[in-house]
Amino acid sequence: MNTGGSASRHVAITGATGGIGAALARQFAQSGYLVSAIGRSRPALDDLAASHERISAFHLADIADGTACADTFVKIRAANGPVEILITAAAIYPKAFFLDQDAGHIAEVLRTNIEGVANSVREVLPAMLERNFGRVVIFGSLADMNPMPGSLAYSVSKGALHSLSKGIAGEIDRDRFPNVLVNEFSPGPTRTRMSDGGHAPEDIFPMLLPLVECGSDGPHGRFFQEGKEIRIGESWKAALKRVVLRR
Amino acid sequence: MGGSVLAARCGEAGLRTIVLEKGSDPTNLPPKRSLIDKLIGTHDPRGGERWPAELLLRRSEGSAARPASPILGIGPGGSARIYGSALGRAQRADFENDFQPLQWDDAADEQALPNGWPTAYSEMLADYREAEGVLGLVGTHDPLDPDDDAQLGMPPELSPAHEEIVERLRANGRHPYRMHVGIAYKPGCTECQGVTCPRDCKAHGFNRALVPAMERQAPVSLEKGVTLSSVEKGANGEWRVTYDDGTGEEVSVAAPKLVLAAGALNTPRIIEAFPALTGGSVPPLVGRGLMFHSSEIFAVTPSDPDALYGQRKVLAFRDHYLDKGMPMAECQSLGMVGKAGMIAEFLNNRARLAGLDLGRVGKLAMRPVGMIAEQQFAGSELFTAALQDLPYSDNRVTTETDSEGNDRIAITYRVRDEMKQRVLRFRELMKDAFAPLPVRFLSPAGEPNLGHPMGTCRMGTSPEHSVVDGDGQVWGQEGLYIADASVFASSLGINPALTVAALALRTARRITG
Repeated sequence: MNTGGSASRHVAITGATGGIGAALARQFAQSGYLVSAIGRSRPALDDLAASHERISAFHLADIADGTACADTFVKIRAANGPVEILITAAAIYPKAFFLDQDAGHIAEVLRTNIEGVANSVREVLPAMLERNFGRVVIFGSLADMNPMPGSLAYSVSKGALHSLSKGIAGEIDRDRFPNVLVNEFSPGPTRTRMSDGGHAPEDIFPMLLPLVECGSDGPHGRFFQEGKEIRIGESWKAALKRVVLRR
Repeated sequence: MGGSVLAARCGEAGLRTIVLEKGSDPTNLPPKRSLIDKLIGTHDPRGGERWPAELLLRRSEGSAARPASPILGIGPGGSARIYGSALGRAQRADFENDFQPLQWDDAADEQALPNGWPTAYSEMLADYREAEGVLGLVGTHDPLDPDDDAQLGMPPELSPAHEEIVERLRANGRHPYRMHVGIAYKPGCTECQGVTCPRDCKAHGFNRALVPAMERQAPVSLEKGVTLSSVEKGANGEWRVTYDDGTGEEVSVAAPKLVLAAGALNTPRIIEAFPALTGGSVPPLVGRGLMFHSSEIFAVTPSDPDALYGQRKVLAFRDHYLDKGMPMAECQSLGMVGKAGMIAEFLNNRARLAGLDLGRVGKLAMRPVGMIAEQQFAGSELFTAALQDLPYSDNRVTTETDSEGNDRIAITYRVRDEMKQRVLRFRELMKDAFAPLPVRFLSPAGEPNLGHPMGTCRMGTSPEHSVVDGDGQVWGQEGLYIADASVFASSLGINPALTVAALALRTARRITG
């Protein structure tokens, strides 16, 4: 069994200057991983890089800018080698009621929250396939199921990530690249700039780690919330097939 | 392959060219199939890119026919579009020998049709080079073949398990190299088989020759969804072809040159359906001498199954292309991973050979066994060899009308004992080549590869023993050419696609003067 458990592996984290991203960067580094932290805030990046010798910081002002994103990942490869694990935690969550939004509001949120994820995955996936090793954990949410007032654009963007994650996973040939796994992960409510209640940011690392350390028989194209799998939109036929075939 | 390559060349030379294609563009959505259909593997024409009806297969004239799934593409690019991509050259020995079973089997009691080629290999090499240039290959040279000067791009990297297999072969005195593959690899390539992949990495005549020619404004028009209704030869020597253009409209065109490139199972049936093509009587060898490679498929298990990943059309060796004068084949990566359906099919074939036709129920019953076996084969690499067949006059293709009034491809084909003996010898050689890695054979000895039909309008030096001359022109029919695997004089120990393209270039040169 191919495992992902080797602690010297290279993990890249987008949104590393956010609450959860920064906590993950420190905890991965403390566990022996080599961490490339990607974020928008230069001071926060500097703090992060100073906090642990295995963290290096990479500034990226707009992850939805494909060229800028590609340039950043070129620098990351040059400094730390190919990315073996990608955690996409970059997202924006501006609160605004629908009727108070201007015409560009939704587009801006979708750009960062969807295109930003797609851009970063596109940069790391080819090298993962070539080496038949990779773990991609896309930060998702079930906000799309019941959008809260004022969180419309965010909810729409997170809904799109379900199909983005599953779609990327589905295009990976399981026979040829069995050890490249792409999953969606929702931390649940967490105390960050985006939310006032819920988990401490440090609680997320142990919930997420199984998606990184699992072997090639680990999950692929699936959704996990707080460490538990949730089967979004599974038909009864698919459920039956899963139970019968014990997949 | 042949039709597209030839049409592109004729168009680029300034000749007004009309391509009449039976297939239409494939629809994006494959038709819905029931669970039972999927499990028993009833024929799936895949939204119109595979031949639509099952073949009728029988062992001898008059015996009962059984249906078989055709392994034929339909539509621009043909079979090479959905299968193909193994684009190796045949060898000098193929062109310089007339293989007869008596040369190695004292018990042989019949002669194969004369199967030397009318062209010298040195001339063929020029055509191969040109075809390779059109299609674009990756791979490395065969260290055993001094004639192999193919222009090859860098193939994808090997996984550690493939490296181990290479080391094993070398240690056993074999000479592995990277097989010649017509895929412009992109990251994550699935090396698709059986369907057209939208990434379009796989080289075939349509995407590498005809489409580029049309984009360069060559005077080529492509008519799809065409059904021929009549062919006549006018007093001025021009061919007049009338066809239904797919809308029910009859269209008639006249041209001084007419090329048939419908493939070895269809070109002879067109000649039989329209005898005006050959002056009213059908030449005796049309449809006869049908050859299929014997499809050897076997699994080699490397020591660490987890080290086996990545691209799969990667290795080949030709140490046993010939063995003691017997025509054998290149051994190459199959490029596919063992799947439940394939294994169930194998088990059913075994049962059928043991005199137990399990039919559709059997297919259903074998499926779970196949699913268990799939796990077993997950860590194995599948290899294949297209063992040479010899042309026998009674192996043939004809047209038969079924009970529903539809014309079907009917194949009469009997595997000779001499072929089975060569298969068994080849298996010994393969076990020896990969030893001590375990080798498990998945195909019954002498299983014809229905995807490689050849030789049904043979090429030769005289009309007594062949249908076309060395340039693909039908004997005695000025301006009528054939440009597909029908013209193969022998079956070659390699996939037919590159040779089809090379011969099409030669025929195009003759046409364009």
